[in-house]
Amino acid sequence: MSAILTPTKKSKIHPDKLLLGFLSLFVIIPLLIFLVFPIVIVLLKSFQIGDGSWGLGNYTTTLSESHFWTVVANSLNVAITVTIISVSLAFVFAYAIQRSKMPGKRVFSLLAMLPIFAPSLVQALGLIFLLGRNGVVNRWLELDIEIYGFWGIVIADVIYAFPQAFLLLSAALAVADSRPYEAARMLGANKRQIFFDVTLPSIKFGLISSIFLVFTVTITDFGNAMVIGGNYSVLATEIYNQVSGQMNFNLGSVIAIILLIPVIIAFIIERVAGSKQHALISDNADPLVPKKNALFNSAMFLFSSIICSLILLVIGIVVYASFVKLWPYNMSFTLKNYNFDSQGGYEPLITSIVVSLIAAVMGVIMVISSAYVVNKSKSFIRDIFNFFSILPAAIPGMVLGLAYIFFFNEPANPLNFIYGTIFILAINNVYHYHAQGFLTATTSLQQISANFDETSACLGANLFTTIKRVTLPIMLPAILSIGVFFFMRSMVTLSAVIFLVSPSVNMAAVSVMLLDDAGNTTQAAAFSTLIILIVLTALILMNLLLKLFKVKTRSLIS
Amino acid sequence: MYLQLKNITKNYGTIIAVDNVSLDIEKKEFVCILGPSGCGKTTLLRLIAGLEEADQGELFIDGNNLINVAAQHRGFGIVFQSYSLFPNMTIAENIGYGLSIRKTPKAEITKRVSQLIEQVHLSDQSKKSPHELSGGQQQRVALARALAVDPILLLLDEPLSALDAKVRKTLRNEIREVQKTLGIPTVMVTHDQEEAMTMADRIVCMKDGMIEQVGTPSELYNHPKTAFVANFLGSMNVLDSLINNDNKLKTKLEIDNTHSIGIRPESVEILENNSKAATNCYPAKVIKIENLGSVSHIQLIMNDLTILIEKNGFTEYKVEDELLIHFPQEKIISFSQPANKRG
Repeated sequence: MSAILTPTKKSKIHPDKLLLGFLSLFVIIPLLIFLVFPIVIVLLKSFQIGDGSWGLGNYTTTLSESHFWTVVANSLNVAITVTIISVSLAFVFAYAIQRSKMPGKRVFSLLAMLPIFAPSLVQALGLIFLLGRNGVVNRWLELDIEIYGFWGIVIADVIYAFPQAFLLLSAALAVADSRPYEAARMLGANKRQIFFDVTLPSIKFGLISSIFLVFTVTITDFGNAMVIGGNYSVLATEIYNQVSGQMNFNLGSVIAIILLIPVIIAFIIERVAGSKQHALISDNADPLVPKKNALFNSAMFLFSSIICSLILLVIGIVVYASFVKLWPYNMSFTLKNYNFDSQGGYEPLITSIVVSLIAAVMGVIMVISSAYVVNKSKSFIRDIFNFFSILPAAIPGMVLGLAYIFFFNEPANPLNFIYGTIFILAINNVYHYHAQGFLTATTSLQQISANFDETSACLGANLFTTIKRVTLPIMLPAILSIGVFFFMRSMVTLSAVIFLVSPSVNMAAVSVMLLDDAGNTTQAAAFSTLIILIVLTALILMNLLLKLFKVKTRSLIS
Repeated sequence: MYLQLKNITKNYGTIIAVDNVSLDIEKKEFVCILGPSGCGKTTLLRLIAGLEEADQGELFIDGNNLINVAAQHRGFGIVFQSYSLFPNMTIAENIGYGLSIRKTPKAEITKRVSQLIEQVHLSDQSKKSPHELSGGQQQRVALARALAVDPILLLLDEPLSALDAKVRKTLRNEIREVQKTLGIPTVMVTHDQEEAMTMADRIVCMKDGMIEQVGTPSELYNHPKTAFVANFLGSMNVLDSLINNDNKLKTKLEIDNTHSIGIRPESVEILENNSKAATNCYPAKVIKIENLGSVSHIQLIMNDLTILIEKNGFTEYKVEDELLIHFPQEKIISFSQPANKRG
């Protein structure tokens, strides 16, 4: 028994606390280097004028240009229009999935997710194949629809944002307690009253969250605006033009800072709304079972079919175009588009896969460590780590990319050597998508009762053993889904990495943009098809693995 | 004594969760810490387990001071209300977990695990996952897991509270059986007085972070030191207002007035008309009748005082009946503290 009862002296730090301390440093140092410092530099650069002196010069120049205000107005117009359309459609669609008895719900929900498995320029690419000057509609029906510009961006972004809004609204509608509905019916409320008095209030916060998420996704979107915007300039493309086109980094950072403002406001509102979502559901809720109503179910089925057909059409035509000889003149089948003769051939695709794999591994390690520290720490440290971990959700990809140029392309930075390598791309993706991964990890950790740790400790395990043998195995499904999430986002991302690629180290989504830019649209389509294929393969693999482990789980993606 | 708590204090900010608690527990003893939620009973158990650090005080087991020994080195077994079986392990792996931490040889673990599985009547379940078992079965596994490492002390944190009434009763007996067989000192936290009464050798009744009374179940029930203890273990009619209230009442309670006094509902007698007892008799009017089956509760009003009487079987009395009630002198309990805090 003496072996068991060895007192650890109070003055000596307990090894478990040492491990937690080490983990905290392991999390916070990269967060500072790869997120906080670069962002601070962007802020500083925006105050640095051409000759190296400091001042508000960049701001006064930018803000006094009428062109700038046009761009701001354009961005807001697009973002607000997309938000209204996308959230409305996603709401009805989510309602159909969760609250009707229509057939084919599984297929519908899978099809609806398709747009986020593709880079955010594939939607625009598809629209151009459909409605562009050489699009099938204008060609075959001999119409003269002009898709480039405002409506092009809006439609492309509606499709791009749709699955993200659908996920949030679907989750909000899924958790329903049947008792308030029954109570309302017994009190004599009709369907319309029940909808406004019971349904809407119960998903209020999910609705607010989805509105601000779609707004953020749209106002920060670069790919679709670049491909289909034409002369219609928005903030994200303006940053790109200032930096890549005119090499005006300081003005670029001014616009980046200005783009931050609406995004941060949206982020704060979304967080506040999100935090209130859970309080509405009690433990002993009685799940709501949809009633049979032939007319309603048929209407919902029709609506869902239309939505999914449109999504399938826009994405599908890209796949189709990738097998066409000379769009739109010679539509016969060919594989030659997959024989990429410019932009480094298949290399960007391989780079993307490697970068995405590194990002997946690093992302999993970082967000789980961070979530673990937040879960186990006391208030002060918890709040700081929590704040920095979610902060990336408020940082547009363009801004983070720009920040990385400033910070890592500086010869004085000892980390300068990672600039221009695949590692900076992977790291950039880890911190660009840190918030979503972190939130999944936190949710998963919160579901693990503290009693598991305590039981394990009482049975003689130290913290390391407990993490290895209890915590991580329980989190396995979450770990897998976080890894796939990072992989998927890294495969399709464009906005953050656009500033960090070089001719020698290029990424697939950027390649698509460059191919399209060079007028090589069918090869761009082929490249997009390959990206979608790889992402889908990763998802299928994940689901097979989860099935293998016999775990049923709500993952980040499906 | 085997386990010894000396002046243990634990604060959470300004809240004193455990206030200067001292307690001795003998070897082979089953002790229940009983009290309402928020009384500090769970905190006290967690302090014993080493899951919380005490602000002050000392903790000895077999003469060794444990206050600076981490939970993982104490060698105690613990069972939580929520079962807390590791969902990533089978039943057998759960039970063997503590042994594998101790680097026990595989063959030995297998042997010990199958012996324990048998002991908790789950022989054919060893390969199953925790979620495939019922609540009662899961709690048996949790108990087996705690016992697998031959703990020098067993801690039970409301182990039966999440179970339904029937399972609770069976498991209550099983836990007590196992504890007696192994002779392992056990501390159990509960808010259920029936559990404490039926299982414990001694009950520690807690309130506001302090111990109200320690004693055998019969001591606490028949001789509660405070009205709080009396009320927590059963019901109590507090009769303080009858002391020195000589004008309105026909007879005075013959008891000195320095203590608070009371009587259990089952000890109050109803006198048939005309049969006049000498002392402690009062007229009262029935205001409520509750027939529970095996017993009935009669609530009466006597001046401003409400009195509860418990009788066997169904009662024939009705609301508005005027009765003569009697408080037998030998059944009146006097407390050391006034009863004004809890009615």
